[in-house]
Amino acid sequence: MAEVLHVEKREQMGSAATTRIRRSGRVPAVLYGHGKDNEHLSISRSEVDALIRHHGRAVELQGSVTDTAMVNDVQWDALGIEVLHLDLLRVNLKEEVEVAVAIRLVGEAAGTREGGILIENLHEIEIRCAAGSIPESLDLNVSELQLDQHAVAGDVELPSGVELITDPETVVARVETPREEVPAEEAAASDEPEVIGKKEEQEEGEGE
Amino acid sequence: MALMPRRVKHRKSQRGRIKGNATRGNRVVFGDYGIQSLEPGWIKAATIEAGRIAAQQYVRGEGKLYIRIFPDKSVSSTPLETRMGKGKGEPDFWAASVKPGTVLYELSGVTEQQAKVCFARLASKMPVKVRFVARRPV
Repeated sequence: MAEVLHVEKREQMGSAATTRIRRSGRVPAVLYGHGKDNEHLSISRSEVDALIRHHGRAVELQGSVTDTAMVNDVQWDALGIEVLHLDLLRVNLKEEVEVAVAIRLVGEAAGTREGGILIENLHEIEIRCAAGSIPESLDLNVSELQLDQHAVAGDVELPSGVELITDPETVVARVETPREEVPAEEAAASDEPEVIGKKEEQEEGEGE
Repeated sequence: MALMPRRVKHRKSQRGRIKGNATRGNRVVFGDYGIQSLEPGWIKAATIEAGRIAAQQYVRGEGKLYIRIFPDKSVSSTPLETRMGKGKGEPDFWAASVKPGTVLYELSGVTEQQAKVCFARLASKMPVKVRFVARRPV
């Protein structure tokens, strides 16, 4: 289900104008694709936050521009607190697209009851599906995983109309036997690392 | 034994200056939750180890801890009661140079509440201000 974003066209470009837009509580965005001209837009910060929170991908644009699009890229600030910019790619909601979707592990692995640790090797997988029906996440049932067993990408439950692109043999989650903590070794003979090239120079010097 | 490189090109390094924010290593990649530096600074190898022990004792047998920083900078010092001059001092300790935004540790296989408690213990060992972060949605 596509989320609705109310957009406004940006008239002024450049870093100063963009900073002013951000300060006024809006997020700059760009819309491109399908061989049409680019549109410079701005979107309310609360709508962008909601979109990120809901893992929204397909969006319906209303306001200055009416179109359907997919979130192609999200630019964050250095600390990952605020969204700085959105890239929107024009798509037809029936068009097939390739996207990465988060994997959600379901159930408690049997191996964890025997002291194992459930490790998630892969957090997202690539799928191909209609732009209008991109799932928020894909479930992987791990309840039958015993110690030292693993689940692969092929085990992920895919809804109808969704095709897996990632190699189905890729390990997604495994139950690892906890390793015993190795007691701290006594300080090695040398407390300093080896210096590259130092020994060779010395040997050369002695030879002369 | 504290962390340090196995081989180096030079024993001593210049002090340098930490400018700007981290543009790499600033996202949670391996685990589900992490602890992120909010200030620039040096984190000693012994401090990284102290943080690891504090976290590991809490998550023992449940989660997996990832250390995202490595002390690759040697810091030298001149011994006490030594007259000035006579060249640069001998390497004293190894440190990781950290920029604001760097993810220091990550945890997986635990709930958010457990991760918060664990990282609160770990944060008290850190010489820089830190904040709790979760994996960013895809």
